[in-house]
Amino acid sequence: MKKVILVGFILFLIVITIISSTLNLLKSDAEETHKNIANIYNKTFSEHFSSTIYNIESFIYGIKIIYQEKNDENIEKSIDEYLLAYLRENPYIRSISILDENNIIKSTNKFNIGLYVNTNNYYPKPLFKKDILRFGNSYYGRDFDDGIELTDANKYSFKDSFFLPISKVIELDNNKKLVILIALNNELFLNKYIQTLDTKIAFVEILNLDGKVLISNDTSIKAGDKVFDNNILESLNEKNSYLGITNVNKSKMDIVSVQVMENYPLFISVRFDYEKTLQNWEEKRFSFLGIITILLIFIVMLILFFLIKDDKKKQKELEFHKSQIENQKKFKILFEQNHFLSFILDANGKINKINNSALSFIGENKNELLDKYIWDLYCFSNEDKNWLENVITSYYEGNKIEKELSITNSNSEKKVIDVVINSILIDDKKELVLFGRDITEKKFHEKELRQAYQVFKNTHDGIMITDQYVNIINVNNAFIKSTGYELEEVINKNPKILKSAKYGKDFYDKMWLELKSKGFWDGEILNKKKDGTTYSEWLTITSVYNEKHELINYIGIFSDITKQKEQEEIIKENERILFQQSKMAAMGEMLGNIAHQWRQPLSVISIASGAIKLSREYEGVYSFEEVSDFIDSINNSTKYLSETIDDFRNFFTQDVSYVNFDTLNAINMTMKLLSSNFKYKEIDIIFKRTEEVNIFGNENEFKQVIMNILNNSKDVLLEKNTEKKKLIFIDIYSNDKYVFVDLLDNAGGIEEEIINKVFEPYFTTKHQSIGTGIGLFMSEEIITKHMNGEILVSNDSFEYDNLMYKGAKFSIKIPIRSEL
Amino acid sequence: MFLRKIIVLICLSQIFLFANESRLSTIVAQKNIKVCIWPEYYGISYLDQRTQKLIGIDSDLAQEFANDLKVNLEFVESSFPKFISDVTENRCDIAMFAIGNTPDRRVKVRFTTPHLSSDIYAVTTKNNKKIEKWDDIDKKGVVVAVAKGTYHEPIMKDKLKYAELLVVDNMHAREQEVQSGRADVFMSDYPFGKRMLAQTDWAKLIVPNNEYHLTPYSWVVAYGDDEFYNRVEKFISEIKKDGRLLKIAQKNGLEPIVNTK
Repeated sequence: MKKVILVGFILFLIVITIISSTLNLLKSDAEETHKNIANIYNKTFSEHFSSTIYNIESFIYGIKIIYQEKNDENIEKSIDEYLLAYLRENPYIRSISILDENNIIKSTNKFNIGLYVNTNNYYPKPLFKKDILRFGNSYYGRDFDDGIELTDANKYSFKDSFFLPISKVIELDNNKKLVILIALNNELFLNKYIQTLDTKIAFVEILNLDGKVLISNDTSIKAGDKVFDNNILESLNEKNSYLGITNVNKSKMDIVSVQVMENYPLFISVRFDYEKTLQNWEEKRFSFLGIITILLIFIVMLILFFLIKDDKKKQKELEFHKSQIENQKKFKILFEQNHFLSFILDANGKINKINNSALSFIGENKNELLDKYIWDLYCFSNEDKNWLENVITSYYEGNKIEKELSITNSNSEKKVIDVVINSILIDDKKELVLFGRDITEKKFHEKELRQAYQVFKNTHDGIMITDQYVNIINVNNAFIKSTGYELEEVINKNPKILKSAKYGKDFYDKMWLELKSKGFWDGEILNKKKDGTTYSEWLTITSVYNEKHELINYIGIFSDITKQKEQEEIIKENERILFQQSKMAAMGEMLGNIAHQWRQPLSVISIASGAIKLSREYEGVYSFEEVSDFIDSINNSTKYLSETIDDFRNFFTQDVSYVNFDTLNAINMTMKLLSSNFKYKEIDIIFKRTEEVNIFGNENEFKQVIMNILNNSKDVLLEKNTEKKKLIFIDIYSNDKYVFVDLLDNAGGIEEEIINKVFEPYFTTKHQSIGTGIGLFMSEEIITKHMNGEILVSNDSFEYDNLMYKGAKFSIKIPIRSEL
Repeated sequence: MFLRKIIVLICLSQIFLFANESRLSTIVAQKNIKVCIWPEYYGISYLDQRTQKLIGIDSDLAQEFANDLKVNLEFVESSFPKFISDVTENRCDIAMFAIGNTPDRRVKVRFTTPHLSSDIYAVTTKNNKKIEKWDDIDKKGVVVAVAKGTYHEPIMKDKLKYAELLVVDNMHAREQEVQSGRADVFMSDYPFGKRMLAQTDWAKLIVPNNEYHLTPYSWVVAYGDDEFYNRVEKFISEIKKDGRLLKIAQKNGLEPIVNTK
């Protein structure tokens, strides 16, 4: 558009310039025409003036003839008549005088007679022939009698009359010379010449060869003025004429034509005032230029209007065309590169185009598919093929068909495809576009979502979802059930509504700190229901972030553990009872052991005291030293008994403190309690490795475990292994993380059917009188729950003293750490 | 009668005395030299009727010669028919107006070394339909004007085979014959032809295709005065050397025909 305006403007300027140049050329032409007109006028005037002067010369020659031919008494009369006749017929002559040398002796004006007139200075001075026509300076006045030769141009006014003196010498036969003097009425010439001219703009001058004005109708120029510069005068001498535009009067330009008279020393100048002469033309030129400019502007504006209109139309068409091409390109790109399975079908259902996604899905060559009916593709089931053929063949304009089809891809995988069929018009030809969107994954996710929603809705765990500002946006049924609040009662509320009075600010600050730093928090918490009652819950709060790692939700999942807590209390109580029972059983075992332990010291005391009594009754039986030894034995035994009691008491002390203790020392102390009984029962305790490793826990509980296992082994050894050596191997070792304690007997092992049940409560293979079935159960409870360790049982075959044995092996694995 | 004889003898003796004395001495002694010119010869010695001043190469050179001799210059009106008698009868000391050096003239007067040389040119009117080029001149029905006494007269008599030759009394008459249509062309030389083109608006110059008849132009003096002749030759030699000849030829637009060697 800008280009069109610019081009229009340039064209406008060019046309204006051409017109202006043309007008300038026309102006130059007009100047030339006026110069030529001036020249024609001037030539006419010059020829007229020349012929008049020539006529005067002829007249003067006539005088000579009269003088020569009529040499009688009538000669003067004849001359007078001749002069008067000529004077009357030629008004351009004021007077004709005849001079004898310098004095007028005869004249048509009687007042001239006797006047002295010096014609010797008239111009030009003859070089060879004396009888040439000569011209004097202009006179102002009517004739010589009252005229004054112009010597000072400022002494006359324009009201004065002027005349130009002309002289010629005639030589008579008697060698007498006469001078014919004529006062030329040059005003007549001037008036005659300017009659045909507009005197406001045209000026005529007669000048002598010096360039002095003899007469002019230009009031600003006086006789005697020099109006042409030397260049023009030189040109006149060279070429006898000058034609040009020059500054004659200094104040203005003139179109000037100057002609030199062929045989006389005079110039005639015709001048036209340049400005005024061309003024009319200039006015017309400006009017013409103005009209042309307005016309051009109008035409240019009209052209621009139509151009702009046409340009807009073309622009629109171009944009529409561009848009169509863009759309086609976009459609092509969309068609070829989209992830949909795309087909373009003709109205009969034959494939015209197929995109890469569809080719990849079907796994066939493009050329094989083109011109095939869409319903002939293998990927559709028979039912779908029929449906496709039916809907395509019966398709009508504006009908949008959409259906989910189950299609088999090239990998024989079933995919759910959402098929949409629409019609399009391309170049007035109707075609069908079939888009298939693989929604298999979407379907799967929908299913997952439905499941998740069912879980959310129906789970027994209460779920509460908040936005990032911790305003509740959704809760599930379990929440409603647990808290007593309906959904609409908690929407946009802060979970603080559930806050009980149990926890102080520090608790919640810590919770939020952990939630923000770790992204989740879990713990047991006591909350308040709508009715004011409290309930325990195990709450897990998780922060949810979007792809930009911006916090969007908090999800709180809680389990109402009030009943669980109650159940745990019952279990704890049962465990306590079981533990107590275990203790009691152990105590029973201990009593047996005590009996064995005390049997020997009591016998020593009994024997020593009997010996002392005997020494008292029978002096001299035992020496004093021997009695003293008896007393020492009694003291030692008593001390041993006392220590034994301490050991048992310590063992049964309800010490719940957790400390670091040495594994080997704990086992040794346990063995100390059991050793006499084991010795009595001929059971050998054999230590394989005895690493001293500290572990953290309740030492008594650990001792109880060792004792339970050893007692079990003892009972089985006594029951099954009466003939063979009764052996128990204790192996204590460790690595960086764990301490291992293996207890192996050679009682033949545990039957495979029951080996997995030995840690179950109240399971026993012993007679009810000796087995409670809680020993190994408690042992597992202590190792796994109190000490975070493991206890396993297996059967093991091994060789000892070249004999093969088989027995049960209890392997204990306890982490080495300073605290639980 | 006797007295008459004495007077005649005295006069004759005066003549003889005069004859023995060089013209140069007389010129210098009288401080005046008389130079014959033809006042109508454009470019050579043309008298402007309006100003009564002579314009031309030879009138200018005559002034130079007078200046060199430190004498006054007096022009004497002459013409081609008259110049031989003017020179031989002592009406002038020398004729200086580019006189064609022809055998007939050489018999009667002594020519100086030529300072100009011109071929013959034809002048016709612009509206003449017969004469377009030089070859159109010598055709049957064509009238060719020449001035009586000019060297053109014998040459054209000899050269023209078909055209009619019209011999007129003077130079100006040639122009009138052609302008009036009584003749088709008049024969002239380079200076006159050039001047015609400059001064008139009707003349058309017809230039020969090749050299037609080159004529050397000189001045003439009377035989029998070697001293004056040598002085004139000396002057010619000087103006050729010092450049005055070329300068004055250029001033008068005649440098194409000036002979500076």
